[in-house]
Amino acid sequence: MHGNSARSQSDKQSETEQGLTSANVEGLLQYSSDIVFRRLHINGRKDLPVTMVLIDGVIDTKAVDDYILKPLIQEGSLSECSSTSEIIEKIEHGVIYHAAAKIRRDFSECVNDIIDGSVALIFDDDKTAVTFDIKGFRERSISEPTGENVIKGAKDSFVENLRTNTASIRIKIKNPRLVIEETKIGKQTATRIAIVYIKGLTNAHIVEELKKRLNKLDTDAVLTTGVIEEAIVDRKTSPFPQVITTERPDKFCSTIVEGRVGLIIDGIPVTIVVPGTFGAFLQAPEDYSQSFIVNSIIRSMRYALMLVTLFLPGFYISVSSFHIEMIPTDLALAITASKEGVPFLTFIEVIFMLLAFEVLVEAGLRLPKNIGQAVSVVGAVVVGQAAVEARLVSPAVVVIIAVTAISSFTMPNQDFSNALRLWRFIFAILSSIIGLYGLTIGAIILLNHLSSIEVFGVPYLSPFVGGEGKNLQDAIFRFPFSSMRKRPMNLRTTNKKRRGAE
Amino acid sequence: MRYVKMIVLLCCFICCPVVLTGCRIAFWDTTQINNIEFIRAVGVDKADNGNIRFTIATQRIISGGARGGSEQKQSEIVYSEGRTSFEAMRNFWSYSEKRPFLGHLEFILIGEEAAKEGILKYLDFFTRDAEVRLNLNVFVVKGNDAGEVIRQGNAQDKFVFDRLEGIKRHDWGLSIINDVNLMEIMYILDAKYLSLYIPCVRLLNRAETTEESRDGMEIALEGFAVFDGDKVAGYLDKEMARGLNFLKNKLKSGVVNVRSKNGTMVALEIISGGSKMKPYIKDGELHIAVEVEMDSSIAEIQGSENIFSDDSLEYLEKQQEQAIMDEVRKTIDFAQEKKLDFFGAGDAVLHKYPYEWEDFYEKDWRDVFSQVEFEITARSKISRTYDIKQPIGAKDIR
Repeated sequence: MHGNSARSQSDKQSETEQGLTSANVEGLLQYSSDIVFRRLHINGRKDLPVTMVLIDGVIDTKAVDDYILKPLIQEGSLSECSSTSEIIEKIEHGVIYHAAAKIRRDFSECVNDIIDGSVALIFDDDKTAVTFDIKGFRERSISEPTGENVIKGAKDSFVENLRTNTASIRIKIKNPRLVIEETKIGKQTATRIAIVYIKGLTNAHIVEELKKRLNKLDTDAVLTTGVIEEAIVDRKTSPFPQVITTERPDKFCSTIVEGRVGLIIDGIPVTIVVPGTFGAFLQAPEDYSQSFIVNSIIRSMRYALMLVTLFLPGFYISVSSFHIEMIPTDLALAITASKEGVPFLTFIEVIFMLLAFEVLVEAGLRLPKNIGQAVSVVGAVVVGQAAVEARLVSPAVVVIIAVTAISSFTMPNQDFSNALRLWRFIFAILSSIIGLYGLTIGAIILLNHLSSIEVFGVPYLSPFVGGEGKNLQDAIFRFPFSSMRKRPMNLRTTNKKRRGAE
Repeated sequence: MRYVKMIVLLCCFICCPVVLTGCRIAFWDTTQINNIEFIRAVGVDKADNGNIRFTIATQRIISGGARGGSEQKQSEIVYSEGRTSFEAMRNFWSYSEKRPFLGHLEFILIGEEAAKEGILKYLDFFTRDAEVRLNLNVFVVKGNDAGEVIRQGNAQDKFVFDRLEGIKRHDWGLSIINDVNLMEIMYILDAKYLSLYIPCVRLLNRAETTEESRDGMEIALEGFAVFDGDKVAGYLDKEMARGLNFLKNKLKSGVVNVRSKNGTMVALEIISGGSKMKPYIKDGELHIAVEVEMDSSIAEIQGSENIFSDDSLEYLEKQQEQAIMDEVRKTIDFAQEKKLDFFGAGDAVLHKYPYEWEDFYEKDWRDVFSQVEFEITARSKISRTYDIKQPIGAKDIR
């Protein structure tokens, strides 16, 4: 588990080659302006020196003043000690009132604690340090999720702080079997990563496999989810997401309870859940707070819109350039009228509009929020109206692309939507070569691709494959909760039943 | 590695149809939709010099410019001649600005002269061509050239194909025609013992349908044309046409006028109707029992007589049975006289007596058919009398 951090520690060790003394710590940390060293004499006794080391800004200064400095200087019982080792013993047994005090005799452990946001009291004579975890970094408070909004449902989201995030999970899942294992990844950043699962429920193989893959990961920095995601997915060449990412604790918890394994990365307010399966990417957080009848309609519509956003441009190209007899006559005539005076092939029109749409989306993302809105308005007007008036594209194509674009916005998962974006182009190109035949070939290849992916031993197309049709209560339609008696079969959970016997 | 395999597979899939079928299907060969001339109806006639003459009605939309002005539908009529149908169609290409496209062809009208000469010569091209839909409707024009119908039927705002579509769509109101599409024609021409029937249209002077003495003609439905082989042998009038629909079980609705006991005219609306043909052999002679069934409702009573009694309804039922039996009898008589089994009596015999059919009847079915005794029985019911049970004005009489 600590392979990487161990390695980085040994690097530091070889740099100093010395024991745990204030001089050595200072030697390593002196170049930074935010590190504070203070040499103190306990109770004013010059024979009891101690060095306090802390990183300014990371720790809570007020707490240090009140709970560490004050007792050190004023506590009468400390003055009775004859040596620093006695003081260490007293501190260990509670003279300084703080919950998390650790005795460190190892240099690198101590340094790691300091960097993590602890205050260290280094006693040079004993080559020992006492570290207190007094993190006081002013962090963003828990706010409403920005990406995954719901009307009925929890309004909290994950934040950058790992501990806050684990806390919001603990609050939601009050189960002693909930395990939050921590590890550090990243040679330079040493980012803390928590693996979350429920012991005795989650399939242990998935947990083991996840740990194995994380240990193998050799990287400098973990500052984005992508680093972790890429390291743990099975098929790295697929554009389709194979992990679920969410910023909502309630969604995270529901996947954990379902039997999946979660990952929380320190410093990133987005969590990762494995394995990500096809069905999960078409579930919106709101799905479970609506009436199952309404939700079934909405969700089946979402599946239909997925097909629309994938196939519509290709289908339009096929039908209007190869299979004109398939269009109802009046519609065909309307298309000819709209295409009157447009010099390009339908294929080029469609690709042009698709690219224009991609450009707009990208531009809207890059720009600051308030300018982004202007871009979308300008883009819509320019691309829609002006292009039609300039006879660059026909109005029919604008309608087709608009429908495609709007359908793609209904996808609950952005990564999934991006994969569909890519395949949409492939379908458009195949259709332009040999019409519906090409579209069919493309669809077969896509299906083949999707069904060949396995994520942590779970078929990607779950629950549509591998469950013998028994797991379809929560697929295209959402059945009432009373009918979802079992956890997803393909996750092979140890505890299979949701309802009934434990 | 898997991706390489996939790309190779993809290439194979795409190359197969291009290389193996010989079709020119790649995008550099396709005609863009705006370069296509939509042919909607074709009139087939015999030209004076013996050539085949097509009258082609095309349709296009003239868009109202970039700012989305009003779009205008237009239909153009062009003529094209050739020694064969194919040549006639291809000759059209020589002066068509856009590529003529038969995928949206919906109606083929056959002129009277051409129908007399034999329709196979004209229709073969349409059944063979890849673009043509086989479910298009074929009509025979009674008393005119097909070209004339298309010319007259195409007005500034109404086009011949729209009119044909319209009258075809609500033909159920009278049941005097039936859709016959190209596929059925092919099938019937293939079957030796069946005879072909194709619905007819004719031109009607506007003066006949509207009060204003306007110029121009309307297209009207006109029963069926019956074919001997591929040549027209006679026409069924409206009454016989409905008789045929009875026999073919394709009846949808219609009007039966009967008189009540006291002589009041009553109009009955047919709700459903059909027939069963039951062949039987008695003393070596082939008989066919035709059981006609009908269900109707009262649509109109011309008078104040109260006919809603069991007695009187029963009487009306008898009357309507007689009326249908007469209709069906007339159709059968016509068929037997012409020796043309267009309503499928042969099918019924074949299915009931497959061995006898093969041994005795199949060879000269036409002669046998003309001698078969048809025994027609009818059963009918007036099932809906509606809420207004009392006739209007009945109070005074009572």
